[in-house]
Amino acid sequence: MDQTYVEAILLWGSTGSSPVVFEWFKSRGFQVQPMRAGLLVSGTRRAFETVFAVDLATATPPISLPVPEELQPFAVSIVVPALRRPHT
Amino acid sequence: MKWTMRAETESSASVPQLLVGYVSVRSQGGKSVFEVDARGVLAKGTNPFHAESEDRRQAHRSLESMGFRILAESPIGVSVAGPPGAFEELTGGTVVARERLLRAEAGRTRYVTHMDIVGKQQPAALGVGRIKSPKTGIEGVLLERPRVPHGVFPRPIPPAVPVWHLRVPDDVSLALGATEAHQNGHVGRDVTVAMVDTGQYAHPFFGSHDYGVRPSITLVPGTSADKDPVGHGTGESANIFAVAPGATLQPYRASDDGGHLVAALAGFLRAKADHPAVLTNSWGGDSEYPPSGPPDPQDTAFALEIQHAIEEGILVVFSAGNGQFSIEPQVPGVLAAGGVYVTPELELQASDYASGYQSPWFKDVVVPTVCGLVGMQPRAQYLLLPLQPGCELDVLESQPDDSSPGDGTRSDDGWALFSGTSAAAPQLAGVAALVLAAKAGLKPSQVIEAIQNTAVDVTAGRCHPRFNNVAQVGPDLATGAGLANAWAAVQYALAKP
Repeated sequence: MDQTYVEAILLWGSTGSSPVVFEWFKSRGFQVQPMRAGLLVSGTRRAFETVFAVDLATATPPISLPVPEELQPFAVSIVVPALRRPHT
Repeated sequence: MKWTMRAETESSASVPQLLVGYVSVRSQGGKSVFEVDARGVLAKGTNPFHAESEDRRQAHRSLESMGFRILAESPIGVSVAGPPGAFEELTGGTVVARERLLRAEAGRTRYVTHMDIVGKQQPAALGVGRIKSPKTGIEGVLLERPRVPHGVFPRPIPPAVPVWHLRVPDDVSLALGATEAHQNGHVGRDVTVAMVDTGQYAHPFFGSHDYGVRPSITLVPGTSADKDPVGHGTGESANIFAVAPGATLQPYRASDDGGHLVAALAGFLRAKADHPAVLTNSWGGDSEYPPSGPPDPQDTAFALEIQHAIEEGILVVFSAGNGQFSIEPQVPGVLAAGGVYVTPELELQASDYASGYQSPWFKDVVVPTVCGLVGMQPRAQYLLLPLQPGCELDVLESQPDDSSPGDGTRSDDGWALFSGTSAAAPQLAGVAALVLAAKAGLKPSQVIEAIQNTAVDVTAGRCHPRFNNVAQVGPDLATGAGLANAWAAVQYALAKP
């Protein structure tokens, strides 16, 4: 994956949405947009690699990121989906 | 009998509340500048047409007393602005609108509204008025004519290209039945169409047609609202205006500096939150076909967002794909845009570049819902569209490959031949805008019903070989309901209670 900006979808677990998760991502420099089923988390690839301790350069989406321990009560998954492409 | 359009005709346009004109102050030489032949006099200099100081002062007093504002002046005349009544008081005539056939913006020949002064003893020359009283110190007046800017780069006019293609706006408008809608006053006025894409470049094509484009909203920090490194968003957005020239486009740039759509989902969520009437998207993912199971959870999460937009009353358009199979156009309630090709013989056939299938996930969903104009394999180089000079598509489409010699344009001229279902989606967004402007308050499903029920059936050809569905009589898996017809859709919506 060569893009420098990344979107990831976090899906809520059974407890539903929590402001704790919002703040966790925002305090680490990510942009967060609420979704019906979770959160859309956006940020630089470097930020994702640093926070999640992964190497995204050699990976091909969809990429499952490890759910941090603090977020495990709230989130079942954090996935970088496949890139959307123009239909030209 | 050879049919020609009249050089001048009546106009139904209203006279503006403020007009700009030029008055000639009494010439020392005794002849008005409006009464001489320029060929004979220009060589002799302008002195005979200069005014005496006292005549200029008298002209000023007369003009100001009638309600004119002086904008500028020279030894020969004065530029003024004033209401139509002021010009009528000056001349004793009546200010009316007339239509004159001209080469206007972007090389188009069309009727352009001019103002004229008519009445007893008024000259026949368009816009010229004879003065009622010589005591004003004025010998004639000319209403300013509309002017068209020249010498713009990139050209607002597409270049000549040696292959069969369609041009925006006129060919796309005609093929989709939009021209007749426009002639009946339906242009999509005041309908906001949001488009999430690679960016929007301020190509002179848009300005020359006076299309309403708002500044782009960027989703990736640090990217420019003025750039479109791929050219996809800019070019495909021209399709909206070909159908709905009165609509307002709100672009959302979801691309990074490399032109990758890295923030497409964020762009969709942001556009949805701004609540446009129509939200068009010419992109998507790709999954295995046929799928081995249900959509993955991330696709389901995005599908929920799409459905929510529809529930909020936004008409959501997604391109069907160019051989891709993805969740977006399958979401129930989405207007999925497929492809139909109009041949040089003006026959319709399914585009073999466009996806077409029965959704394996959602009951009764066929992709596409209905079709716009899309080229054929291998490159679908079909619509001549404006884009940022030297961008990725400007370069790519101009280059030859094993299948074609290139599109015939230069790699840096700001024009390229391309299409895909990326073009069909904004075309259908334009059709939706026409319907919504004609009949406000319709739900997305009602607009889609109007477009589907009036589409032109396509009975020839096959869609993309990945799905290999045949176009046949009636709705089919290759072309859905067929090729959209904008005027028929508007009439359908107006006729429904």
